[in-house]
Amino acid sequence: MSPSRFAYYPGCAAEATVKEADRAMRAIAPLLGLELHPFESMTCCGAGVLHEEQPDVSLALNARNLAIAERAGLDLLTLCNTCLLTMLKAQHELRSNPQLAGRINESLARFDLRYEGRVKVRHLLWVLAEDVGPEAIRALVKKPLAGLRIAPFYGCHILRPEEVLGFEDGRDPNSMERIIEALGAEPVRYDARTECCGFHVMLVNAPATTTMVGHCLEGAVDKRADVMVTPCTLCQLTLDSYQYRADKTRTQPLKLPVLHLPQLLGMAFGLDGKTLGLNRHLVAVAQ
Amino acid sequence: MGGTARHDRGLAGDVAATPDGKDLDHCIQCGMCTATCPVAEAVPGFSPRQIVARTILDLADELLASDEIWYCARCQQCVASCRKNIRPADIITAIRTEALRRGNRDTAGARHTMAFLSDLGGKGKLNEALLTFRTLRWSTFKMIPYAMRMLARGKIPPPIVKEIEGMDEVQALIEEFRK
Ligand code: SF4
Ligand code: SF4
Repeated sequence: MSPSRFAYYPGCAAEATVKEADRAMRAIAPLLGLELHPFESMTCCGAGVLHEEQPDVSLALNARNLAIAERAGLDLLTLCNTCLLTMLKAQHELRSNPQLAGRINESLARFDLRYEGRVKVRHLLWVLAEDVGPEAIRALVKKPLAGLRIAPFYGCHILRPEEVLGFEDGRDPNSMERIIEALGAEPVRYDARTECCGFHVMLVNAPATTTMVGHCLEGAVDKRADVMVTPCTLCQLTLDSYQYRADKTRTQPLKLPVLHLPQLLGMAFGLDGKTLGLNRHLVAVAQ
Repeated sequence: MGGTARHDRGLAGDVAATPDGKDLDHCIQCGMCTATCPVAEAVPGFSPRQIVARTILDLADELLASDEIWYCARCQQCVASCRKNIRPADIITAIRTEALRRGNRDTAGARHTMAFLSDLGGKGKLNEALLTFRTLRWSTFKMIPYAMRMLARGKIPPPIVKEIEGMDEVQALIEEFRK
């Protein structure tokens, strides 16, 4: 299998707070035939938050990042749902506002950059489900996760709005389930799998995030999940680190470990816990 | 910067003039957005339907200075459930833009948003370590138990962020495209 090459855009969280996601990704990439090229010149995508204060600046900076990938002739791969949606929305806006896109390109030309809209923005989950495929993933499994009940947690920004993302049915997705099955485990079906973890208000309204985290985890625990897995670094950060706060409002602690998707693959591929950063979780992961 | 309405219809006109808020006037106040909003379920009184109504009615002073316009978690449930394709989450984004433009900058939500432009214009990346303090100011002490847990797992991000390559390009783009 000749490797698929990507401009690698892990997202700010995977570069700092949840580094283990980046480490696990780099560890599984060669096994999956993915070649990752990080770019020191790319900025933060602004997470849709920069857009609130300065919409045109947000668009110009995203166009610059995308143009850097285009100059290298690469599609882009991210581990963060919010990066995914922010960049896809930027592409959508650049298409629907050719006048502004033209002005941005005039400015980018000074830096030898041009955004043409060729670059495909992809999430790891999409690359796994579509390019690599469940069969190739199954063939890489060394330690099947047999008997493990795994709750997939998709995260909002990989599902909604469908007009922008358009990968699968936002109300009834199945890409995560197909991957969990390929790893030899059993996907747990529960309602909150497509709901919101509350990350984007975790500072501004911590009690709201705590309630949302509790609701999502409880849905999985009620269906006897052993572990939760999410494709989004921000969801993982929230569901793991706010879990103790959600516990305070309950008689029984939830005790549900929350894994990053590349960590789960790494475990099934037989990589060791240290490489995958399993020791960096607040809710301990049994190894 | 700052100031008051630019359009006759006040806040409604200002919001409807943006790409995010352009479908404002098609809202029929059905309440599907609030019915599917997880923050409405968690925070008594929070309602995207009401925020849209108050925008249409130009109740700007009270709305733009409120904390509640910053409570939306951008989960996009309302965008998926609105039968009139209003994109209520995007309307709230347009309201936030307008709140900042008119000088409503002293809520945690406003400070959190403004940290992004200042970080991206500084190093090109977000400074996650300082974001909490810049958002919460002295109420940051409430986050100490959280920070201790994160610290125990090596999860406190470094306070110094490495600058990206080509910061001059980024600064030039910010100067050119900020409004
Ligand atoms: S769902 Fe749409 S039409 Fe109904 S109240 Fe909300 S914004 Fe208005
Ligand atoms: S995007 Fe905001 S307003 Fe809309 S449902 Fe989610 S939290 Fe509620």
